[in-house]
Amino acid sequence: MVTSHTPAVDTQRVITEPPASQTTPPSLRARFRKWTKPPRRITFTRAGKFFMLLTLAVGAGALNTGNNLLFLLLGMMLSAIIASGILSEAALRKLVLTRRSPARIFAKNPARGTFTLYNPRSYPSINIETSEQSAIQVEGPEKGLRAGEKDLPFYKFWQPDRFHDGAYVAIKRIPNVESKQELIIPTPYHFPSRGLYHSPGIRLATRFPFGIFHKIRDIDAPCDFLVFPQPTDASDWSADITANLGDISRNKAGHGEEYFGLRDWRDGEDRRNIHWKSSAKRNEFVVREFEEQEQRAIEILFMNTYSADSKIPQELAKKLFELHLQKLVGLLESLTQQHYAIALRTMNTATPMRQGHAHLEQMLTHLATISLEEATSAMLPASKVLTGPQQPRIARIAIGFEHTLQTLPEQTDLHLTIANPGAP
Amino acid sequence: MFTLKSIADRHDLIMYACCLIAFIGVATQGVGLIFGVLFLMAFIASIVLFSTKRHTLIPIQFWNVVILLTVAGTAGMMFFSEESVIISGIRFILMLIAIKLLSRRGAERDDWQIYALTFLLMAAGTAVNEDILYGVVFALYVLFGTFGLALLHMRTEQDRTGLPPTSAMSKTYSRILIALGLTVFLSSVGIFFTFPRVGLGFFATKTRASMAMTGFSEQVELGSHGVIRNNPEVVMRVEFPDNKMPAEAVSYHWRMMSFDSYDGTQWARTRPFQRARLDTITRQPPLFDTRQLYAQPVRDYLEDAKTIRLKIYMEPLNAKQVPQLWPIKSFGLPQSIQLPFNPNSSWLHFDTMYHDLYINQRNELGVAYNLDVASKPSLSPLEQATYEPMEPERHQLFLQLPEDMERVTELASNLTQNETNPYKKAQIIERHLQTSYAYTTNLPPVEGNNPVNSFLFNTKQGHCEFFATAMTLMMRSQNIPARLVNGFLGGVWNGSGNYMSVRQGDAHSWVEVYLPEYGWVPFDPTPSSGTTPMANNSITQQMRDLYDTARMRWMQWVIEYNLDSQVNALRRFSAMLSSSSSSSSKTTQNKDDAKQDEQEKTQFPIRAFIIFTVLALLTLFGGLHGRRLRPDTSAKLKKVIAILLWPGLGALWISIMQGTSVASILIGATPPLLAVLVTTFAITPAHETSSRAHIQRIFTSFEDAIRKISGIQRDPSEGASQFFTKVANTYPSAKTTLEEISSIYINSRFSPEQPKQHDIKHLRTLIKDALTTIRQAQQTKR
Repeated sequence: MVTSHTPAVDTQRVITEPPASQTTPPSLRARFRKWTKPPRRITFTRAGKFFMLLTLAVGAGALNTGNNLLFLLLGMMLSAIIASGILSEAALRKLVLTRRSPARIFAKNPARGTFTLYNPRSYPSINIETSEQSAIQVEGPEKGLRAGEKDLPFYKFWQPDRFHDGAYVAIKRIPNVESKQELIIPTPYHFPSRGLYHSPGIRLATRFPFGIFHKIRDIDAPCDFLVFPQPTDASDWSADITANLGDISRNKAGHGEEYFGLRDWRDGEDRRNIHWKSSAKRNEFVVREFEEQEQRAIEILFMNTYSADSKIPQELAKKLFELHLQKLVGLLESLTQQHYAIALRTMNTATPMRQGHAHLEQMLTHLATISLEEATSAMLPASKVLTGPQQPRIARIAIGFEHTLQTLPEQTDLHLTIANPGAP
Repeated sequence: MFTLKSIADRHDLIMYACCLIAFIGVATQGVGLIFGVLFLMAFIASIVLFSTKRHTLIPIQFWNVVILLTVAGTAGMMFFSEESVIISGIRFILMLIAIKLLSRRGAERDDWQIYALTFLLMAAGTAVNEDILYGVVFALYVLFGTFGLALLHMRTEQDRTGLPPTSAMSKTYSRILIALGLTVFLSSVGIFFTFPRVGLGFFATKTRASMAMTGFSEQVELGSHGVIRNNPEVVMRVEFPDNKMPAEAVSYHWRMMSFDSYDGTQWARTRPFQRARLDTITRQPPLFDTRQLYAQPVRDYLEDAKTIRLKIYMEPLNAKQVPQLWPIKSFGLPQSIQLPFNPNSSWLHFDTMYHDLYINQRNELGVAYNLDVASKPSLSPLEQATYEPMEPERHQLFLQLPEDMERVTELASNLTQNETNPYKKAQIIERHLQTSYAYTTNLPPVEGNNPVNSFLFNTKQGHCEFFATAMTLMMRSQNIPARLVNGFLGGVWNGSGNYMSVRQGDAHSWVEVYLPEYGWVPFDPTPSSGTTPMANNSITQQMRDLYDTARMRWMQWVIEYNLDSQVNALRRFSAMLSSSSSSSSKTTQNKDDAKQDEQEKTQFPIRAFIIFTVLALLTLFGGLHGRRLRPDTSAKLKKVIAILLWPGLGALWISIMQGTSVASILIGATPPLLAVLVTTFAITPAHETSSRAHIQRIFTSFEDAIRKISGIQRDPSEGASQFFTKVANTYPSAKTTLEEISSIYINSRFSPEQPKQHDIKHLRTLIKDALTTIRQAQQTKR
């Protein structure tokens, strides 16, 4: 059984762009490719290439000289190649591989997925690689980016697959799977950047028995992976927020730290609450009261627009935007941990004001595929994105390029500017 | 040191073995003793260094310099010495292997390089070693090489998966590897035989070193041929019809080459080769009529004489001629394919002047050819024959005499003064030499510069060449054309190979005398002590025979295997398959039957179809039987019986249908044997998995049976014991049995120890009982 993860579709999404792979029918080229794709792919390893060269050399020598002992050696080489083909096929066929994709993936951070490998046959399989096929970013800042090992066309058999693990989205090597054995294989998934990725399936491969060929069996199990931006440290922003916009007074007695007033001590009340100094002055028991404090809710306006008139070159702007997006994720994580209720508004999406990790995930889902857009007249003016007049209980924070923040009306409490950290 | 438990250690051991095997393949072929010993020392040093972990003491840079020096040294040797390129190359590869072994750090790349070098050594070995030893070396190399490469791969994967390098190798894997090695070996042999030999042979070189033997060159020093009587090296092998050697075969005079001119010390040929134009009896395969070469009486004799076909396999000799007998009716080559560029193609020609059988072949391979030989005709009518005057101009060549032959002429005249019949004259001289002179290979010193005079009048002893030369000269002195013939005499029967071997020690010289109307007739003046075959020690001879048989088969089937062999094998195979069985064709007498026979040939080969269907079924049953026996480790006897039974039945079947022969037995027994062996052993999973999996299978089949009987299904979330309880609750009559089943199942399936065979058996019986009870309960319910 193949488990596939589909990102939750947010109902409040203003502009939704569904992943291309789900709605548009595959192109003719893609269909032709799929139709002509052989069930197995074989590439040579480095040693395999030399092995083939030696075989060709011995074959040429044998045919030219008619030396039968060379034919004998050629027979040995060809047998080894045939045996390689048969045994690697025996190792791969009928194995059942399924995957459970990771619950939450952050870019550049390992996320734990699980492969389940079952060997239904009566003999074991040796040296199996289980891996995720390379995934393509279908939505996100680097649309079309391929995560994972570059797939070679089957006819380019002379090109070796690179085997270093870093090249794969997820790969795990299994020394052997016994007959009737089911292995649960925790496997770290790696994605280079945020976005929605589409993987056509999973992959079984082996280099058994001699390590001269890498035989690959692709299993169709399409799956989308939503990769959240990589969180970076946002303690400065967090400190700014708590310092300036932290808690608000509610003008009534409660469990705050600020002095609110004195009142008479009531019967039955804990005597430890009595403020003895004032009681002595007034000659009656009085109790000191503190003002009730409340945590403010935070509404973050993430301005994902940028004007072409600004002096920042576009490439740099994108880079800065990504850096600040990562910081924003760090901030959101930190605020969620401090139990703030947060509403995230961007120029094209909005989430309601809520607390908790489920809400964080919803916000991250938006941020996973958000892109920096050039400000156009067609776009909503920033002021419209805000839900209404400023309220004392809600701290409004705007994050964006300086020139975009300037377009905002005076309805925000704090501006966090996207600035080039390297600039003087 | 090697503990041999870890994969890495096992791999190292196998890799060292591969190096040694490849070295043995070339060690005796001109590498040189000192060089060989040096290599072995380096080899041992590398093992010691690596196993004591001191190999890293010498820096890699040092070895790089050594490699450069080796390259320079080899290049220098090739330029300045007369050593062959191949030997220089082999030494170079050996040096590289030694350096690689010494500098080895244990990385995958190092080891691949070592395997590649051993392979190159094997390839270079093919150019210098065509002996059967190479076959043995090759078999070992395939087994060890595949084992080694697979272990290297395993070790590399182990590094990748992060397992500790000391991890032990499972039994399963060892078995798979052994099966793999054997399969690769068998399949390389298969590919060897089936790979089409259509080489163009532009670079064809001599593929075998020919045997050096004196006596077959254009000029031969008197006394050089036939002097070594104890050389057992086999020159040719002769197969007789029905593997029976006729009694006269021990006195066959295998005629190679004749000479016309004698200058007093050496024999020579003065005329160039003149090809005789012969008619062919059949074209495919080519068979030539030789009767026209003989005089009329011999021709008449051959017309009615019974001939036997000798299949001759000649080792490469440094001669252009091949042996023949007197008289032969026809000769031919067994092969029929003559490609213009086939390096192995050959052709036979007769010489009109010397009557030698020539072979023209581009390279020095052995030659296979056939002779249809008749017994020697009776020569008694010659005694009464009246001869026509000689034709001196035609046979002047064979009347040539050197100077200083007066005494010889005198002796011959004295001996034959009362005779006019040349045949009788020849008989008298032959008998005189046989009786009055002694045979010796220990030649006494020649007195004067006339060895024949010395032999005839002084020493009176010599070997066959002296006798033959003396008779030739004596015949010539009487104006009777005569010539010296060099060849071989007789041969010994090789019981293990069912053929006659003619050895170098059987070299012999005799005389051919030209008798008008009868042509050239052989005479052998050597006393019988010089014509008895060389003595044999029975045990050593048996060993030698065995070796020679193996060598002959090796040469026939490996070294000189070619397109013809392939076509012949294919023909033989298709003949075996052909529906017209030998028995029916033998009884076919009239033309109608023959026609019917032809028709049958073109129709679907029903008989062959039946034969191979039954064989395929036997193979299938053998495989299934083996598969059934596989998990049962205690059934050793049953396995042995299966291994004997199915191949036996296969062999019996083919023998019944095609007649008993080694080929029938092999064809019949091999497929079932392979099927049984492969299913019983080669793909056997380790015991621990098989018996546990067995328990699992029993449980699954029980589940299926319950579902079919009562419809009770096990939930995916349900454990085995819960399932058994559920079934027991529905069928209380089976409760006790089910409880027992449950406990045995749970214990065997999940305990760390392996399930025992008797537990599996007991579980089977219990499940059978339980199912019967449940079925009964179900029926009563209904």
